[in-house]
Amino acid sequence: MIRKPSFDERERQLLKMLQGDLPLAAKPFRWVAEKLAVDESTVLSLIGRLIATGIIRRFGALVHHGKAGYVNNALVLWDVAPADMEQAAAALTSHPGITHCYERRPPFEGTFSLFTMIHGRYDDDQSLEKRVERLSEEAGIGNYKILESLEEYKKTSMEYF
Amino acid sequence: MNLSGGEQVVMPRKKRHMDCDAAMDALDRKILTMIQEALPLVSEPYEALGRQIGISGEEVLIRLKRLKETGVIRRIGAVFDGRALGQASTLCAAKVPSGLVKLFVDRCCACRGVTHCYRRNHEYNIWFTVTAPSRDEIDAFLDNLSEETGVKDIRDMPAVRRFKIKATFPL
Repeated sequence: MIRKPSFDERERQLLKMLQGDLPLAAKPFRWVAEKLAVDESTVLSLIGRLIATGIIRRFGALVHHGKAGYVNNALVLWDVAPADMEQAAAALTSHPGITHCYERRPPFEGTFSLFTMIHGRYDDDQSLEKRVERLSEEAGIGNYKILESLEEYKKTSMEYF
Repeated sequence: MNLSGGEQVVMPRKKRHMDCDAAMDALDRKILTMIQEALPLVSEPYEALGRQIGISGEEVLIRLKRLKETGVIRRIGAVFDGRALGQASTLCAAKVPSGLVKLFVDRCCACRGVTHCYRRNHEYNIWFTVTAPSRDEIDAFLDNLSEETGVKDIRDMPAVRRFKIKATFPL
């Protein structure tokens, strides 16, 4: 069963601030500490603990990938038998262009159970289709489906706190 | 390098995106690459970043402020792991008739738990993710969405295994 971690009031306040945007100031953690009326070292050790326990997956800058040159993205669905799932996933995820890889149930169209997001730069020397074709050869998956994004309606971080 | 055929497709894109990309120099890229992985957990993190690449913390901040103004940086903070927080999530694909797309997308995106929503090239044309404190809440949201919009065909495909999640890019 899923276990929900519990936080005290001070931790909750900190989490709320960290899910927002820290100021571009020389001492951002002191700024947070002053807002919460705690020591800077308390803030730093709390963040460290949240990273160590996996609650914070990444702590840093979120980049607008389109503006940084990553203009193409596609969801690629792969037809992989359960027994081959791990091997196929390992082959696909070794590529830096693959950012997300999940096994999902039920399979889409009754067939596609491995889901990946792939990103491409405007100056890639190969088209996305070509790269996916190469990936399919490397991973030994003959049947796949490329679903390009035609329009983005929403893309945000979840506000948990 | 394979330039046959693909060249014509690539060129217009290159032109379209030259402005934003050209506005970043090698040092900007270096800073971005480092800071999207991790902001150092020290009192003066930008000073620490600068030291690694031989510039002052002040210059790092000046560059980051510019990257923020131009929208390359969305925000600086934490990315939480929904699963570690005990949250339920799913990816859905809906078959939405063209006349209903606006209504459907508006209703869908109004939900706080919907974090990503795209139109894609498939008869299941609208794809979105939902995160909620429990699976029951996701079910309730999807039922309600279906009822409000008349869109009955929504495929709900929760992840049973996560192999990779790393939305950072070499810049």
